Amino acid sequence: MTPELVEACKAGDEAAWTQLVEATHREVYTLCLRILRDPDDAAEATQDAYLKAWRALKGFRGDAMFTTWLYRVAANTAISKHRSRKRRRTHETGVGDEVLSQIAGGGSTESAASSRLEVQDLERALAVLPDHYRSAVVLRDVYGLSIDEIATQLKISQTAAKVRIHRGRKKLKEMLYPDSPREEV
Amino acid sequence: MDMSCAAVREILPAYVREGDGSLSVRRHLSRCTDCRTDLTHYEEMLASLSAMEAATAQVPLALRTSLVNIPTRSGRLESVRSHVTQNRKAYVSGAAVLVAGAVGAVAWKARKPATA
Repeated sequence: MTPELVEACKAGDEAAWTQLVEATHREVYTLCLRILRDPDDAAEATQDAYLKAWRALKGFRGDAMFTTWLYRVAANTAISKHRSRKRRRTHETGVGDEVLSQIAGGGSTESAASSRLEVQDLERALAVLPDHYRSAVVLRDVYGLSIDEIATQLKISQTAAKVRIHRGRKKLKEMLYPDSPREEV
Repeated sequence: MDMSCAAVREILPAYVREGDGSLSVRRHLSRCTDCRTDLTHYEEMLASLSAMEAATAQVPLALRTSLVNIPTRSGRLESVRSHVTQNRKAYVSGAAVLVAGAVGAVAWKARKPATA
């Protein structure tokens, strides 16, 4: 993602916008899917996020990386959507399976292949992690948002964000390594 | 005094991710096999989570098309909005004439049976 491409989009160049969408929409959709665990909601959130991004592009000053800025907009949109749809919570395992098949089906997993854990195992473990831990861990450890940014997105204090990330990682590790040595008290 | 395993394991994720490791943590790790195993698990898990950014889901085709069309759709909406803003006086006057006409018609209809 070059600064020139972003500048061209800011100037209203529609061909540049197409390139920008092409370069980023898979990551943004997957981020929304990982937070929302529902393909339709994720598609809706992605659409809203890009609409917001298009309208706010003129204000983008380039002091952060464009993809980080876009992730922030997408995370914000997905989290707001997640809050508003809490009334129709789906059984997590079932939804997780659907998400898993989507990611495994179209997954470009080459770079993940170098690490020893399978993406599917991670997705499965993330799917059963409580919502408030999952959002925090996904934003921090998958998309690299700062603690400050996560606290702002989740509308919690920095300390609360740190606690959620810490507990989420711990639970995730327990799920992924059930034979891990037990803690001595 | 050596740290307890429980205390060290509380710190391990941050130790891996943010490099928050005091001398006492490192000393404990050099002696404790169980905590070293736990450290390896966190290292592997966090590295795998980072790599997940590149593992993307299949995007519905209709969504991609709709994202590409945002400037056109947004432009159309904007032009309608700015047209309405620029011609606000004309629209307000037109609406006022319509309302006045409707009120007049209702009043005239209401009066008619009384005169008959």
